Amino acid sequence: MSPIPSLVVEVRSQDIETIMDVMEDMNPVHVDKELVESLGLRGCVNQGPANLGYVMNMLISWSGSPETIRHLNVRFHSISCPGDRLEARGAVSNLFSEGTSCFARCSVELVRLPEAASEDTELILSGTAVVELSDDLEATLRLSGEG
Amino acid sequence: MDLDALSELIGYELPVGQYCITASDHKRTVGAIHQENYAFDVAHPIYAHLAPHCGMGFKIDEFFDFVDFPMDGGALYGEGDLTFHKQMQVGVTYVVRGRVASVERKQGSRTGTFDLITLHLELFDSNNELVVTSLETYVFPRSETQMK
Repeated sequence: MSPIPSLVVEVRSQDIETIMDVMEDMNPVHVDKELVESLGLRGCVNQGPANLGYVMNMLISWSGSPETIRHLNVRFHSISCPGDRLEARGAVSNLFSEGTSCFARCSVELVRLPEAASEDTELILSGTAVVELSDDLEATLRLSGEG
Repeated sequence: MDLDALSELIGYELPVGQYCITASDHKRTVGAIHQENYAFDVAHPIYAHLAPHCGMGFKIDEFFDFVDFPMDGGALYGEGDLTFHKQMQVGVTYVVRGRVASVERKQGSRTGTFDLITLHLELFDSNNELVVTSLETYVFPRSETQMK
């Protein structure tokens, strides 16, 4: 399994408000601190699509283009909140061909990085992706033993 | 909403909607997910979720009403499945068609009773060609009173 270079981001409150505005998403769990406390959540909830976007950014950065992402399936395990440092990670599971194109099936995940060395990472989402490979990237992966 | 009423939602066709990926919204969105320097000719793939979701025939508050759930009840996006058939373009208006694909009531040891409701949404371009298929599953925690 060849690892995909990871990507680290920090969740920002103003970004949550921007996404709310773009999506016309009035769900108060994104901004109402009293509500999230009453619901037993550890903080205001970053949008799931934003978490998905960080994973997509990792795939784009690796493959070189947003046009390469062909399929993505993710399950959300936990929430992310303002101030969290998140790391998008992935690895190539296998390669396959369709016609003249070569694709990588990848495992992906997003984790919350611990604030202290004694803490564990927390899984925010996990899933799979199918990414079309450029000739160069395919050659690199085959040289490293994939496929 | 009791389980019988919930099950009757399966197959319900959402009103047809549309969504335009405007340049200003696209710029704000990619900035909000830390891609301020995004400079590709196609829309960011996050719009495979955003465009069907925002363009479906329900606004989010109407969707919550439809499934009989309060806006402040703590609903969350639980699972997403995106298939890219064609690239999305900024400045283009797409048609969104959708239906309720499945509903399921579950019991969690920590979370109590919750409903999983999955929408099957499709994004079409002006040639009526399929651009994106998006399955989005939402988690609705249910209190005792909400299950009646």
